[in-house]
Amino acid sequence: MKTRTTRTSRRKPVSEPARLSQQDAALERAWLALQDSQAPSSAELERMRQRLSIVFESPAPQSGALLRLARGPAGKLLASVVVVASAIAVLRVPPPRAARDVSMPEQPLVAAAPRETSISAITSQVEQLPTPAPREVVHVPASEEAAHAATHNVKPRRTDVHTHAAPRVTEPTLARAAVEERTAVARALRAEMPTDAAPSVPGAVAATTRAASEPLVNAATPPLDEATLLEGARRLAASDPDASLRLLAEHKRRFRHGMLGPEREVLAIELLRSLSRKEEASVRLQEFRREYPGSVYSTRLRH
Amino acid sequence: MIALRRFSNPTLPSAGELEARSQRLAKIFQEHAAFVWRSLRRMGIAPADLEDATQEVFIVVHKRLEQYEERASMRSWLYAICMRVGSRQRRSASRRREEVVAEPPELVVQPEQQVGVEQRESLQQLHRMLETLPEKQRTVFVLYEVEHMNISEIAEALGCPQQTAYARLHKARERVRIELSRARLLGNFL
Repeated sequence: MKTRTTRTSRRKPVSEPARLSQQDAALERAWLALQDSQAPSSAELERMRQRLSIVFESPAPQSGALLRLARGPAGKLLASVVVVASAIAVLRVPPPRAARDVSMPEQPLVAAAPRETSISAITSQVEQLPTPAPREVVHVPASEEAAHAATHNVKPRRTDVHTHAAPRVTEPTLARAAVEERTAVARALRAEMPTDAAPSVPGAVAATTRAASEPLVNAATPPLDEATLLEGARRLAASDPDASLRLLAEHKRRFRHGMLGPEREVLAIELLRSLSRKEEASVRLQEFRREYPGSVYSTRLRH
Repeated sequence: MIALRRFSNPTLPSAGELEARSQRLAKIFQEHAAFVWRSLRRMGIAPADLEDATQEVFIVVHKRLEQYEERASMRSWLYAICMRVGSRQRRSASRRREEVVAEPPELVVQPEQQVGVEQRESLQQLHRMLETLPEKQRTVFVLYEVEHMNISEIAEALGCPQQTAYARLHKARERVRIELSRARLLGNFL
């Protein structure tokens, strides 16, 4: 029974992300060029085709009778019997005590918040959630378990404890504490995030160009990742250097030691130089040299 | 001759069956030879051995065609064969060769493909970018992004759960995005 459930969950289709090259024509061309560069030449293909056509015309070598039997329905039946028997043997062995008690309070969290939602979705969900709701969620499996025990008049099996992890968390205080903590987190996020948060780059960029006095948080709502932020800054460098500098500052605030830290500094220094703000540029260059000694960009920044 | 052998062993296929089978094999070769070649090449087979390795894969296909079940994707099956042939070939190649090649072979551009210097440079940049990925992530990334295989096909080819394939793809994409923007931010890459 248990083996079957795990197998079906493994087969469940995983949602596939759009390919990077779908939004990126240059990348698509690059992939095609890569394919071409790794392809066989037509002469090689023809040579292989001719040699293989002789092989293909001969009958396939017969495999042994025992092998055929093993691959037939009888063999499959035998294999499945072995699998089921070993699964039963595994299930009968009680799990170690420590394994059963691990991470119980996290259960309602997982149930309430799907993994891939944006922060704003999570915050709204969290705030809509009435406080007693998770207690019900927690109690349902517990009562089920109790009913099961009552009708069958048996102690709950150890494997059941393993699958229904929730019944352990019967204290309402625990659940309430979890919810309170989450609401606090949500409130903090909401405070940081404006309501008209722009999810995409062009929107975010437009938000910064709208007015110089506006708070910068607009441009860098949590969904914006490191790379998008910097690319926005680069795109704005020529048309709106001030907005670009603000985006760079935002990047520095949020991803001070991010993977694109050196690139941010190089962009900033070059932009400051182009604006003839020599003093700031040289200060920033010194910082850059301290922070990233021996960087490959040192020669680029020399002149 | 075949009829005689068939008389002595009734499990042998008839001439018509043989013909149909060889045509099917030829079709598989025509459709997938380039994919097999590229896959073997990415597995690190030396250019000089690629022809042998590709032929070996199709000889296995010829032997095992009856075991290939229609429900599986042909490319998943072929890729799994490539992995086995590739690892065998690499072992025998390292024994045969006297000099050990420490660096992966330089990107060889066929003379018939007149590629500009610019494009060759960006190709090499692409290679360097892919080389920053750990091998398992790179495999999944290339199969998904470059070869346009599905997650389920990839998981089947590599013999791993779909979640594993997806996790590797996710990590690889994150990394490639960072590398891509790094190259684009400061250079004129792509």
